Amino acid sequence: MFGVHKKCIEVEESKNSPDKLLRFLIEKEQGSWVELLNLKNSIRVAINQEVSDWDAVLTDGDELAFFPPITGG
Amino acid sequence: MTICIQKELFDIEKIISNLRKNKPTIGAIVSFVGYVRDYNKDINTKKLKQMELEHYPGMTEKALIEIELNAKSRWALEDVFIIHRIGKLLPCDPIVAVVVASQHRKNAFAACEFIIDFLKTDAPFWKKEISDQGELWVQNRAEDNQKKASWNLGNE
Repeated sequence: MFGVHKKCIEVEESKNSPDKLLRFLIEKEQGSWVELLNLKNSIRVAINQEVSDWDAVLTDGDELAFFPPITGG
Repeated sequence: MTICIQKELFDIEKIISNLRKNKPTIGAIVSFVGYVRDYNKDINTKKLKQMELEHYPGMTEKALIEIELNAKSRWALEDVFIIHRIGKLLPCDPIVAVVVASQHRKNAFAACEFIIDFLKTDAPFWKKEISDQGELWVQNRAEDNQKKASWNLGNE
């Protein structure tokens, strides 16, 4: 969707959940972030490589991933 | 307990004989091997050329270790080996293998099924099909989620 695997982002401390961060990115950059929000129900969130949820608390240096439904095996 | 994510082909016979080496307590080995299918029964006009598998390095290993540990906490197992391929695969190629060793067959059968069911929904791998009609990221199947959920209902 984005054509990138990684992106480093600096944000205010108040954007401290995946949900708030996504909304901030939509405001700032539009583009594929809007599409991501539309798919929110099927997208999963991982923080520091562990499954998490949209309202979890992010701290400085965390690795956040949004990914589509898993189809391995 | 071994976890392997690799591009190369694997040899299931070799995996099993390595697992059994110096372990006379193993009385049962159950293995599951998944292969690239050509093609989907409901869209049979397409011809699969190739499959591309991606994963989320770091998280994949963590997820697989957690699945193995969960299996080990539910059943008495001698050993577990999980291998999953990434990159370009061709029809009929093996994609994944789960090999479980235990003293008696019951635990190995149950744990092997448990591990592949959870791998299907919790290990971050994604498949892209490349067919004569173009490229398509594979959609997840509701049955896979149902299968995983059934384990929490005491289906042992």
